[in-house]
Amino acid sequence: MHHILNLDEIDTDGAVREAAEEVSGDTRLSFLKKAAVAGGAAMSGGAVLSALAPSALAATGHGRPPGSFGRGDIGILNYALTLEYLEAAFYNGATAANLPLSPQAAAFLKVVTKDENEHVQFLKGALGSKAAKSPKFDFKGTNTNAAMFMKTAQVLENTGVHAYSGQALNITHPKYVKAAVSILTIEARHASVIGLLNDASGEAITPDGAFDTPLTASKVLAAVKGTGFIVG
Amino acid sequence: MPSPPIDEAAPQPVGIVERLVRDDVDRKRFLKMAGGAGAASFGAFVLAACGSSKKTASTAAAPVATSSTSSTSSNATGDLAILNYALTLEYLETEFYAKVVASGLFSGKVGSLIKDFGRQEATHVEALKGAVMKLGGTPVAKPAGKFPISSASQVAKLAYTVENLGAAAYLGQAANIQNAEVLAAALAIHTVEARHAATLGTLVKKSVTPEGAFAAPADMPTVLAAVKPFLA
Repeated sequence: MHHILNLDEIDTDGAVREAAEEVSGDTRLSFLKKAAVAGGAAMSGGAVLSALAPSALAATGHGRPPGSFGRGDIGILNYALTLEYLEAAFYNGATAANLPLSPQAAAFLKVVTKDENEHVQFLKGALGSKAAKSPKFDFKGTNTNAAMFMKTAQVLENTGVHAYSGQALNITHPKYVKAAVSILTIEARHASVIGLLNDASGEAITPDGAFDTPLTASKVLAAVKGTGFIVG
Repeated sequence: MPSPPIDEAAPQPVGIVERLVRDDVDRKRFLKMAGGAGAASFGAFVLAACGSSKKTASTAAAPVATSSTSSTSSNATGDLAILNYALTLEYLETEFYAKVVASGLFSGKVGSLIKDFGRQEATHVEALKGAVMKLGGTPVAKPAGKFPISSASQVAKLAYTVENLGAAAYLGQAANIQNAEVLAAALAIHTVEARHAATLGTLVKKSVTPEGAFAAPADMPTVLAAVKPFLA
């Protein structure tokens, strides 16, 4: 396997494309229009160098989670919390499933299960009474089958990296910027390890090359919705 | 497919970071210099801060990078100082990987990964130089590095140390960066350093998340002290 995994490969019912059209009140078409208006700069490959150009300044501050997550930093933290709920539930299920994993993969599962549950606890604590409730999940067997688990974990972790980096510049409170970036680091570490275990190629370990690419919330949420993992 | 682990039974790596971090005298000296950097150019600051405390003249010979043209920015403070600091670290990482590749200690998949990582560090150097110039500053001169290179295991562990330091260094500056574009660039680089660090951690059977679920930042004096042994 020498290509980059994407969510299409774990899209068990072929719903990614359709779902992408109607996520969070933001259609793909309107997303693309907005991206075009923003020059697409901060959100596309090769973003970093072009983003350093003053003309791309307007591209920052885009891609926030929809208002249903809350306003400002609350919304961003709840968006992060929702993704962490998903990761934690995915790994908790995998742990309970006693998957026949290699020693390295078993060590990975142990680390990520602990880390993602800690991220959930941290974000819930930070949000207090404003914390979003955990959605209900159905992982469709992807965390009870070793091979599917390995592939899916790689996609989820890279999605986490792209999601946090996509919001880092939108956070206002310095305390939350620091926390988000600290968690971002961990997601990147997880992503590279599962990439290494799956493929041991540069493409799997650093899928975006020398610069990780941020993703807008609408893109991330479209991808998550496309998996069908959130069922309620 | 499990990744090829690297033999654990080779000589212990130098505990450079740990040793220097605990060295009160060194730390105080760097803190003092950092505080007193004043109007000095960042190039001079780095070289002075990193230079040996012995009387021997630094071979780096302080090509003092004076910011001669810009009226609005100073290399000594703010984002330019942070960018030049990051550039110094990336220069060292690039030289390190170049020497590791030249040593021929690695072949196969790990050798290929080492080359990928080295290329990515070189790309970071170019991006940071460009960023410094775009902000009207002068890129700091490339320092001369020196790295112990004896066995594959020792080198991989040293690389793990260096990459963890790099990731922590970027994390330590995230909240200090003023310009959103600079922050975007730093974050995009930072996660790649984290990916390298965790990949190497897996290969040398060390923790992929040495600080647990939340990555710890390292401040400038700590990092400069830690890289001191790698400056020729």
